[in-house]
Amino acid sequence: MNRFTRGRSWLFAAALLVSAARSAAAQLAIPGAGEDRFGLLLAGQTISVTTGDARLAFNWTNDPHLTADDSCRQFQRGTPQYRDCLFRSVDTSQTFIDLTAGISGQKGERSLFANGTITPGYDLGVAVTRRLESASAHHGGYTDVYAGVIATSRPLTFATITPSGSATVADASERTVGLTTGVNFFLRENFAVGIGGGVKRAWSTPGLQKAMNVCTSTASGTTAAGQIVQVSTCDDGYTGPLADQWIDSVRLDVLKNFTRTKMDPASGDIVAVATVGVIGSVNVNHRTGTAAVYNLAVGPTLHPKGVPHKVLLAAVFGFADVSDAANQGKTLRDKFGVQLYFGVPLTGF
Amino acid sequence: MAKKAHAAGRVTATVHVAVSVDGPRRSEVFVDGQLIPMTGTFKRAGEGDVELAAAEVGVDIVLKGQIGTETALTVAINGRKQQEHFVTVQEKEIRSFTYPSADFGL
Repeated sequence: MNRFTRGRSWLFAAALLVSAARSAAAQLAIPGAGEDRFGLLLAGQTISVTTGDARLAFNWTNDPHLTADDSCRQFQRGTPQYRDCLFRSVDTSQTFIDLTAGISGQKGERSLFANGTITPGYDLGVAVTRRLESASAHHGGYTDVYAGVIATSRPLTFATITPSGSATVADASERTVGLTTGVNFFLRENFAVGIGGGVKRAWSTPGLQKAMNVCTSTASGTTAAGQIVQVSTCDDGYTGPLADQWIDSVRLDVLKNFTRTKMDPASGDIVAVATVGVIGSVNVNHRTGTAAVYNLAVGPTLHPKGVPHKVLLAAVFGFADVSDAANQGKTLRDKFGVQLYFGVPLTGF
Repeated sequence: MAKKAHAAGRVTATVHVAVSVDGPRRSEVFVDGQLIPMTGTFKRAGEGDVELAAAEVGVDIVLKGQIGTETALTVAINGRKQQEHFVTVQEKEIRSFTYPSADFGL
């Protein structure tokens, strides 16, 4: 006998994400609720995310030869022409290539391991970013234009019950392939606004369904008091049949760091103090035949002292499917979740 | 190190320079106005040969980075190092240093 019970969804979930790059330091993923990936780039690296399901990811960014062509020896050192020549050398554009690979838990579950076995899903991505530098004489800042391809595969369990009452429980993999593109405007080195969009094709997807418990009764009996006792094995899953859908999305991301320096009274030098920041995301997803899904995410970030472009810790508060697009009666508890992200200092610290 | 006499009587030397910069998002280092090629993003390093002709060596680092970023600069000429450490106070700035050539054995 099969039965469905509503499972937990969007509880306080913590996910550890490790990113490693060849030249830059470990980079932290910053999430956008309901999104597989977040658009902003930090330190030239793609930011990948989890959205409540566990995921472990590694990120690689190529090591572009950034050195400019200028030789400034033709100008007298210290003259305005010499300074202009030096500044030009850091204003040249660059192109980055990002590769991202990750393993993830079974869709709807919060762990990479279930019942002692790994439940592997994977995602692969490649993105090309063209970075256009600000040519301002006084300010930094830059603009990243990026485009990429993402493919994912996530195992899941689903149950199908026919009107006649017969039931089946089966395993499947939700697979997606899509394109993503966007522009991140770093108006200052510590302030960015990103807009982006994407479209992808999903096969064998449960769509907007909430994860539920799919239980198979293995034994049952009646107590002396007449109570029915059932012994069941349960797994997180969905109701079938699964569908093939197109998914399009649009998002807006904001990142702001608050950096502070102070004068060291002993040495008279400028010294760095701890840096905090805030990151936020609004995104809208639309699937074939369903209403649009609105997701919000916002949270504080903590950066290493004097290293504001790297993130040590982030706590992101996510509100997924704010409008309950499928009218599933989602409560605030269903929609709200907090994810903790820890930056692992592999290099550069 | 190769030395040769200039037409004006000054002595020039072609020297090998190695530099590294850790901190700002972008940076370039010039030794007597000559660019030292580097690779990397926030942590950069490189080396090259430059021609020096004065009793002093001028080193300029130009950078773009977030205010509060700590910068570590190392310049090694003929294997002799000079190191600087400072905190970025502007998003885009130039820091200049001058060393006696004798510090590098020139």
